[in-house]
Amino acid sequence: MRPLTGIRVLDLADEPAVFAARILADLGADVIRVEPPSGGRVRSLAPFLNDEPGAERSFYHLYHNANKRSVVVDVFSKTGREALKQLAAQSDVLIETEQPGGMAGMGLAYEDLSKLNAGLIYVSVTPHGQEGPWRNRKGSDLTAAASSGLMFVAGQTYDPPTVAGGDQSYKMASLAAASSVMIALWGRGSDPDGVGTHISVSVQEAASMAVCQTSNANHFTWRGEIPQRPGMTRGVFECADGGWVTLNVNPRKVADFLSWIAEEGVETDLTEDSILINTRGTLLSPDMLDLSAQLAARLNRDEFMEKAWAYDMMSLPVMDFPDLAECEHLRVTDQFFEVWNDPLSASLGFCRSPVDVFAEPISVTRAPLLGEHTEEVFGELGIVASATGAAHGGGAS
Amino acid sequence: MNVHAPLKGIRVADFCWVLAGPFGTRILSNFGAEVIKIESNAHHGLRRRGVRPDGEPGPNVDPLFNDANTGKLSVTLNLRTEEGREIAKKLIAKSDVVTNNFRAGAMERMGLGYDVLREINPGVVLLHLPGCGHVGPWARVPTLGNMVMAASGISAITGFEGRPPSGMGVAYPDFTSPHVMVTTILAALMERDRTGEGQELNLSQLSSSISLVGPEWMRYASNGEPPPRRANRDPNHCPHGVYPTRGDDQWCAIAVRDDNEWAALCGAMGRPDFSKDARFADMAARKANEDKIDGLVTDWTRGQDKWELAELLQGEGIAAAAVEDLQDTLLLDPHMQTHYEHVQQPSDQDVDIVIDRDPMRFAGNDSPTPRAPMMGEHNGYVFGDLLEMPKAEIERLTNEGVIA
Repeated sequence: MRPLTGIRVLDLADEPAVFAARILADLGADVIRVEPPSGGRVRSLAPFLNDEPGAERSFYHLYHNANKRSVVVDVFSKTGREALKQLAAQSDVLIETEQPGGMAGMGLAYEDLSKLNAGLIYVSVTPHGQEGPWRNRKGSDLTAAASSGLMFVAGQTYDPPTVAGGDQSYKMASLAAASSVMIALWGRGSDPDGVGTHISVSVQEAASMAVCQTSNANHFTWRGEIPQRPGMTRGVFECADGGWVTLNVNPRKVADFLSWIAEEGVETDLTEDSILINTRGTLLSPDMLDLSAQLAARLNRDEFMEKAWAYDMMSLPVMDFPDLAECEHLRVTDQFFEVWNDPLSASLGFCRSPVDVFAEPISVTRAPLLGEHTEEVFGELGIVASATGAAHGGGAS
Repeated sequence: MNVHAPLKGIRVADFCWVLAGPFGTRILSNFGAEVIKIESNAHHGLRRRGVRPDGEPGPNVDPLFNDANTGKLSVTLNLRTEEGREIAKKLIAKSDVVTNNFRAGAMERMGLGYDVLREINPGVVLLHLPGCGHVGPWARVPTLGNMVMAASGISAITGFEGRPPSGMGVAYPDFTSPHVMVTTILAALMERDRTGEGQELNLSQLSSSISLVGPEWMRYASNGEPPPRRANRDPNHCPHGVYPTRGDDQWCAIAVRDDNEWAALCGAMGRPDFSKDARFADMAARKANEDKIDGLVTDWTRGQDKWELAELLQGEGIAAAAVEDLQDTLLLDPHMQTHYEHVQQPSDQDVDIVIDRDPMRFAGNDSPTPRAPMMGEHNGYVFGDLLEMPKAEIERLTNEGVIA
């Protein structure tokens, strides 16, 4: 038994929330991806395994859809919509990412499906929510990063605003969608009538939560300040060997820091008192940044880390992907593993699920082929197979 | 369900401090859990740096503290005293969840490890949120969120080639971890309801951050080629980036995903001929000529107003948005107006504090987000009503610096 064993999730989400149901699947939910006959859009996203395009080869799909099943339902046909209604009638959760009104136009809005299943928890993830003047705007991970304020504080002062790697606005939206499902499942469980609800997550708003420290609203309302790039991340320093490190010296560590830089031959007129007075505890003052940079320049990265930790300083190395692969800490904590994908005849590299913190470790089953489980799921739920409104997919390409 | 308080009935003894932990228990609180924040004058968090807009100290008005602790109850308890720890145990005995984001091992050193807590309360869920997890060589390394991001690989693929790897400009894991906390805590409570047993959840901010670049890791693991810095490009869009507009440091983000959108962009630019140009005929061709395209788009956007430009492109069916700074999101973005809320503290009623509303909107729940507590505001309720401690004893413990 896993935490969500017995919970069925219909996953109609494209990129903005495709990671949400992956998390629920990791916790043991039966996640059924409902895809059009041509395959969900994430299957078309580059890059592909060995750079060969194909509906089963997108890394975006292979990662985010692991631990899920796939059924093909053509919601543009009447019989397909009927099949989806039958699925929804027997599910606990539905996650969708259509523009507002899109599902209603097909008769598949919360109002429609909750008539068949009052307990349904229906999550809509859209660029700007279900209400407000921008609700019908088109969005992407980039535009969410732009409109949430995330981009403006990322990057260098001399570069344009910078978007994060890995579609992080969509990750924020997916994480919010997953936690909202858990909250709603709990709320439904506490309700004697077991009634579900409709939840709206705006990608813009979900992403904006990640900026609420760097670009806290009160900076402006109290003092008229507008935070600039590079936001919170001034404290990265280049070492003698070209590696990079982070360091932040808290007020209790200033004396240790001065001892350490003296050991390495970095000279300064600053004292503990003058530093504490001038920086008022932030310690990202130009002086401290300059001393940290001089210190890093005298040491190789590994030496720097060893000494920083010997002084019990807050510090971690900046790691690129080869560093991740070689990191001893990540090796002994089983961060990375391979999963054999038989249809592709390939072993694929996975990392631990973010929710892999339970006594029973979370394993990974490869992402499903398009429509691989249509017959299986329809059989289990007693749905007549011809109702899919489409030929079944399947087969590696 | 009760959409105003779906988590009503859950009680959390919250030892979290600073940001990542409090933002997680904030979500529990905003959705109806009773979150009792254990604070102490002997163990300062964000309150210490609280300064009112007029420059005077204001321990109840620090903006981040107020954003991260909405709706919680606050008690003061000095955990450096034996009696303080005993009172903490009494509270834990009446709680469903215990949370902390101290360094790995800190709860054990205070005598509040899981072995002790399960004796007191077999159903308790104890959550830890250290930077690098509870085992392994880095288990006890002190970290901040921006460092965890730097170590996770996110910074390595963010930004422009040849620049310092400064990543996202935010302490990103402080804002992803809260959702992971909520998800795993509620999952553990669901298991508890089935089995009667609580459990210890050892999260790792580093591990969960790495999972946010999973597809990029998978690709690296399959071809061994380190992924390049992303710049502002995307393999499935072209053009894709921010383009300069009128004013200083003003930009418009544009993401074009297919031939139709490209044709629409060319039309908007007054250059329909570009959509027939062989150099830009399909996505592959546009990708091969991306620098050229970026130059053409830049020539067109420069001098335009970023809001009007985004509106124009949206009208053509293209994903576009003004790059917003703080002033923009606060004052000019019509959609974000429902995101920000205003609260006041009873101790500082002249100070307007802007906080963020949770982005998960349950239909029918339009209740405002409640303010954060003042230091020790709920000592009476928690120690008197909940733990049924006599008034005289509360007074004694207050005088002796235990309830403090």
